[in-house]
Amino acid sequence: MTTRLVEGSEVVADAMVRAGCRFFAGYPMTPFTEVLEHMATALPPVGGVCVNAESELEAVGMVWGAAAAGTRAATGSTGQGLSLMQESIAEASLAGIGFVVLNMARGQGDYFQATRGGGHGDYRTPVLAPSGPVEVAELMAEAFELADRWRNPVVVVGDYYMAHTWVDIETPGEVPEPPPAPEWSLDGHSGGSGAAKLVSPLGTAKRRDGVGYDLAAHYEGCAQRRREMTAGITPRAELVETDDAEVVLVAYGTMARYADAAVSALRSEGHRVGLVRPITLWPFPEAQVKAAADGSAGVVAVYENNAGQMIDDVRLSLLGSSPVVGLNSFATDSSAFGIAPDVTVENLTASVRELLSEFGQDAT
Amino acid sequence: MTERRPDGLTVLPSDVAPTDAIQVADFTPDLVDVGEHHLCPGCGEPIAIRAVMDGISLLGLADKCMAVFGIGCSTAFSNNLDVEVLQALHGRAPSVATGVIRMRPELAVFTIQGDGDMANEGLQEVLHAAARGENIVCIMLNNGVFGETGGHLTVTTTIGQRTKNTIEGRNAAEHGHPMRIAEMLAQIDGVGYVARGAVNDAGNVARTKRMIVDAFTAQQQQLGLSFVEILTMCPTGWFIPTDEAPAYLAETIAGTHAVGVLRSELT
Amino acid sequence: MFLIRRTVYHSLVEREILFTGIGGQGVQLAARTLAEAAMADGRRVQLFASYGGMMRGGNSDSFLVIADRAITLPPVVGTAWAAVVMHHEHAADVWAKLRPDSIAIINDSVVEPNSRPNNSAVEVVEVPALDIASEVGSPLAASLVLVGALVARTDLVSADALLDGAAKVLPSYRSEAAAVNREALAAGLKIGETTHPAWELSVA
Ligand SMILES: Cc1ncc(C[n+]2csc(CCOP(=O)(O)OP(=O)(O)O)c2C)c(N)n1
Ligand code: SF4
Ligand SMILES: [Mg+2]
Repeated sequence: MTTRLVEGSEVVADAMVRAGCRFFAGYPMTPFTEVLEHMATALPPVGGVCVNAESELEAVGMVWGAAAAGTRAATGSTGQGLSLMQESIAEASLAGIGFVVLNMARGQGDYFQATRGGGHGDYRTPVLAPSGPVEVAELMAEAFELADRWRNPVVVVGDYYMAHTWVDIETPGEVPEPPPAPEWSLDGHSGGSGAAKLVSPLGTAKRRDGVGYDLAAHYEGCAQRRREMTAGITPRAELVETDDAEVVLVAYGTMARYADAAVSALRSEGHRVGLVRPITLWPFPEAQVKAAADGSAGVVAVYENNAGQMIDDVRLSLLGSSPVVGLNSFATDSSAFGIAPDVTVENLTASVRELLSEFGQDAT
Repeated sequence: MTERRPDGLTVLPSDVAPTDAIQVADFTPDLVDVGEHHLCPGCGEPIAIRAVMDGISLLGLADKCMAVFGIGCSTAFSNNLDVEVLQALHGRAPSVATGVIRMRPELAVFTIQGDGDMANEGLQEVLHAAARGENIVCIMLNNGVFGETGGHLTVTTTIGQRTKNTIEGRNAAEHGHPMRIAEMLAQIDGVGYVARGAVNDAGNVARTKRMIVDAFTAQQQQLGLSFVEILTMCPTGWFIPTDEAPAYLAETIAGTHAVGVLRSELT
Repeated sequence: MFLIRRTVYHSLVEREILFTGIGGQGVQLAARTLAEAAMADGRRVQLFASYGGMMRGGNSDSFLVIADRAITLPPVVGTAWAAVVMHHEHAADVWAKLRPDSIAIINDSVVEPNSRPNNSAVEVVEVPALDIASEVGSPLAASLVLVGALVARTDLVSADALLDGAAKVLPSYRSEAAAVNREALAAGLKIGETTHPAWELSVA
């Protein structure tokens, strides 16, 4: 193994290839662009295909086809491009076609898009939020496992910071072989057998069986699969120093790294501050947030790089049992890439000190 | 009342069942499942799809192919087929087929889309797929209307054609001009075969079937994207009696969308 | 699943170096060259590159952290130990983040004289980087002259590792620039003696 200086987006690409991804399609948009560039270099040597699609609509369409043909496949973009893809993501859930969608977001304004499903209809997508390049490798493998297991699109959330942070990492050894094509997938060979396969968001029943597309039955089946998926995915969170915390921070992704550093700084000054870092954004780690807040917390503070979105999930987790405040008024820089210059450990530490004086033991 | 055609054959009125008729043969092709479908009487789409299935049978591709269907009336026929079907969303079939062919290049991958699906909602998809030289066959069932939603104008609707939003006939000043999709594709580098057929009479059905065979042959020879546009009747969306639809197609539509082979790289 | 972690408090020496300039000035190249050199010396690095979508003319900033152990700092640091300033356009944020004991290496050929650290305790090293880079044959390598000067003043990385860094960061289609970049680094290394040793407190 050699240690290399690697750009975060290359870490993301490498993690996808290691997780068995052999088809990737995308359309350039900062900060997703570099992932696409790295996939274009990384896939051909392992027998994979990367297509520089002419639009996000086409990119997700291609992934629909490749995944239905039994390949581990992924696409991605940032907010705007993902808005264009939503129809396909929603319907892929109904068709039972699983693939991975990267949301290399600008800031965290796409939390609702990712976790509520920015598309139409009665569907959900599991959402994973690594804290940075170092955690990506592990979570990417899990994302593809979930997409296969639940035959559903899975969203992995990153951001400009993740894409553009270079880290010194050990380059792992050989790339493992991807798993075999799932049984339901299409290979073109069942035609003429009297039982040709069908993959469709409208259902898979054949007319000759006297049923045809029975949408009611199909949608009920989809709802049942979704119920099982919801129950079958264990919500994950990392808890840092929460058991005696007076102020419990909740933050995900890059913001959690600032929060983590702020917790260290405040703890070394003797303040009782902790952090819950949701790793699965859907299903949301409600029990973990609740457990952390039910200790000695005077207040739960949600630190996110948007005007307040995840705070809804925190409130739903607590159902009013603790006060919840949002720490989220930041100036964004002129690039509009979600790099908020006010997001610093120092600023967060100052905000938490104010909360401690209002809600902590020293509060007057 | 029994009529006589000039060639001496007997023509039975369609509302009278021949009471003494017996079925001597079932002409349903192998790859079309017997069973009801919900397309209108007189619709051209089942004829066109049957022609495609015949072509696949003839070339022995049934267990080496995949159909990618768009969304339109023909979608209701996709689960009557004994070939593998991957359903795409409205407008997206060429991209979906791209994803399939890139991972399974040995297959005969083809799309079936209506004119609304291919030329309205997703025109860029087929153009880009053609320019990329994707080795797939794209079939466009062109009736000049959104049959499925109730007979609305599409980009291929011809001047004078009746649709729900041009009930007195399309006129250019008010509704714009029709687009000729086969002509557009024929001039893109990366296509192997481009033709336009029709299913309004037996002669055209036979010609169209040959076009389909040629298109799949070009695909098997890896010549790039092959395209067959098929003019189909939609009496329901044209708001005319069923039996007038074939003649209406010949008179109102085929003048703008001329039947014939536009390009072939086959040798 | 609960992943419960305790934070570890250790006296870690972390060196935060801010780079600022505009696109095309070689800011990212300079930051990565220094990062590669630090890695070759056996240190840990983290580098956040921020540039505004445009390859030329927009702001280009880099936040580099070099440390003896795994880095826990988030990508953008709030205060810094050193700065490499190629252009004044976006330098205000950098000046504000410099701690009193820090050092600023300034591209005197471009940066306006009124753009200087807020705190007079910061050591300022003014380098006519464009002139020096032109002398070695590539005005494009001015940012590397500054990095050389930073290393001359701080011993942040070893001279050999720095010089070898020149070739490591270039993509294959630009590899012919390695020799002149190495010279630009070498020219920078000649600028002055160590005034600000980086690792004196190190307990590695
Ligand atoms: C995104 C989207 N927009 C609109 C529709 C509604 N829709 C279904 S079929 C159709 C038109 C179909 O027309 P065409 O492709 O020509 O097929 P035909 O019904 O004529 O065979 C439309 C607009 C849809 N399914 N999806
Ligand atoms: S509406 Fe038109 S295209 Fe649709 S089934 Fe009826 S005749 Fe065919
Ligand atoms: Mg139509």
